[in-house]
Amino acid sequence: MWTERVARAALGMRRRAFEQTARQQGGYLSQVCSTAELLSTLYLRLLRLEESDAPLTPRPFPGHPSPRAPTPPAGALYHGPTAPHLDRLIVGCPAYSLAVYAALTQLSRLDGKALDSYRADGGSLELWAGAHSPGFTFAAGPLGATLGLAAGVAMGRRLRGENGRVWALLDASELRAGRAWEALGVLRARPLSNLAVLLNAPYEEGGAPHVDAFVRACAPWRVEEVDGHDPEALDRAAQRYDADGPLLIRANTHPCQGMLYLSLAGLPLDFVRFKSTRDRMNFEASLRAELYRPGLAGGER
Amino acid sequence: MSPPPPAAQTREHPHADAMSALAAERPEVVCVTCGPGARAALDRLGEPPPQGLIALPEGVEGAVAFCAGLAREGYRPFLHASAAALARGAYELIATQVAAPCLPVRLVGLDGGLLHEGGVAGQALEDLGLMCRLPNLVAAEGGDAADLLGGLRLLDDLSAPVYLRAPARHAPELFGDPPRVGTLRALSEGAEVLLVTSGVCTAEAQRLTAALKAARVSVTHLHAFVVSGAGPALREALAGGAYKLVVTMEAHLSPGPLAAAAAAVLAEGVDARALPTLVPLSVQQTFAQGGALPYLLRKYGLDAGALLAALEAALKRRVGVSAADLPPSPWGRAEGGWPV
Repeated sequence: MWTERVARAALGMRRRAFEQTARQQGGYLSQVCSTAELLSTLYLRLLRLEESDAPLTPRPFPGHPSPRAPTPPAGALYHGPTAPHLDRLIVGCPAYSLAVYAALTQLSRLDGKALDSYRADGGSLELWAGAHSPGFTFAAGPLGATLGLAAGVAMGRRLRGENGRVWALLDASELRAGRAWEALGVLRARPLSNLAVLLNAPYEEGGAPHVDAFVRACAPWRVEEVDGHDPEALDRAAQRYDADGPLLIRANTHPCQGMLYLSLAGLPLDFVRFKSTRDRMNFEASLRAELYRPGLAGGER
Repeated sequence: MSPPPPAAQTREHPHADAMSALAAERPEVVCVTCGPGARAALDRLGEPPPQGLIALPEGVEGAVAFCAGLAREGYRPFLHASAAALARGAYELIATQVAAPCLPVRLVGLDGGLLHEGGVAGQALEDLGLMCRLPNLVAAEGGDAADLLGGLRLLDDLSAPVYLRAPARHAPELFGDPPRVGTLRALSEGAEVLLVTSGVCTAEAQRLTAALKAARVSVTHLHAFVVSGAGPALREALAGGAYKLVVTMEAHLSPGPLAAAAAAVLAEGVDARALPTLVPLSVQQTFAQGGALPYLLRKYGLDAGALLAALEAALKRRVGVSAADLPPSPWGRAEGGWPV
């Protein structure tokens, strides 16, 4: 059943991200916890994508485009070819880079060892993704740009008469930036029904007034609110279409989902880091026990 | 004494006319405005372009991101916004999502420099310098109607992102033919002074150059439409010459892009018979007050009279030209609409 595949993929993502964070002694781990089911459901259920066009082992950083070498974004090749009926996924939160790499690895769009090159000098799996990084069409950042970028892509596809959807995965922290609200103004001027916005609202951000205000501001369009760790609820919400504007799915999530030790230890959740060797050793031992305990389904490889 | 020559004619809405023609001709061109001021500046668009006019509300960062998205889909959006908003409010987005990925987004900064009446909040005196700092991005400034009418197509032919500083409403008619990329437009030839101007300063310099010729001051006057990467053209202009002075004149905070390019060329050394002195005329490290352009050009030392004074000081002689010998400025206060 597809929900079981999502659960296995989400667990696999968490394990891979944990291993990288342990190896690197820090990382955007909480963002993986909150998005694991969102990204797994997107890739396994919601997105209409073809097989990846890109190498399993990511190529080194190819250099930035220039007028003499106007290279297209290599990161988007991991979503396969583009076609009018296929979907796009736009992720723009810099802190989601590891989550996207882990999802692509888990779903065999990247080689199992690809994550070993995460943050490696000269590699393309950068801490903050560029447009050359697997899974990304645009460089991640500045914070809050995702909605405007996705709206532009959706506008371009509408102008061409394509029927594929554009999915934007937003983090609630992006709504703190004024440019996200400016993009909302863009959407009010040009409501785009081919755009679906999946708003990840971890509880520490989700309760903030700017998130409620943003959701209220989208009220003229279809707004769904779901448990972001419930793939079936996500799937039901994603089936909604609004002919008059975009679809907004507010996905309430937990920033420590699947890694309760993060919450218990009181580690910083923006970027998990350690104050001492003892902190780090406790982190590794406790989370390894939590993520690999008997009875948990093995991460899908 | 003969009366001064008449002021150059002006043309209303040359940029809007050029935009209209280009969008009608090229279906992948999408005309976008940000804010009511920019929308009003394009009210002259004749036939609706094939993709329509996308009029966005205020919020330039969202608009730049939107245009980057459109460009990723194969379109070439022309985003019209106030130059101040683009240069100050959206610089991070322009660097990250337009210049770095080398997307064919065309940013049209309306009423940059001293063209805006709105003082410090409206006047982008640093826009061109900031844009010239970004790799990939080509920065240009329209100095007359022909620059705007012919230059838009030229810029759209580039595979690079573009920033164009353009007057929102009217511009003088100084030249008869469209500009060319990679070259500076030669307006007069001489041996003593190399004068390089851009934007509104070109018309001001032209007010003076005819009188200078009559007074036997030998001036080569070059006008820059594309102001980024002007170094090679300046080097070529200086090669083999024996100019005493290189004068740059820009409605821009000091140093403007032309002054910076000239300084770099002179510092690197040129194959010339004499090493000229650089006299950069620009707004000297101050924010400007609001007002009409002729007043502001006079106040900040960028009108024909200021150029005359600078030449006399640098040449250490009176050249025998008075204000009565000069035609009036073709730039006046913009009429109609509200500031962009």
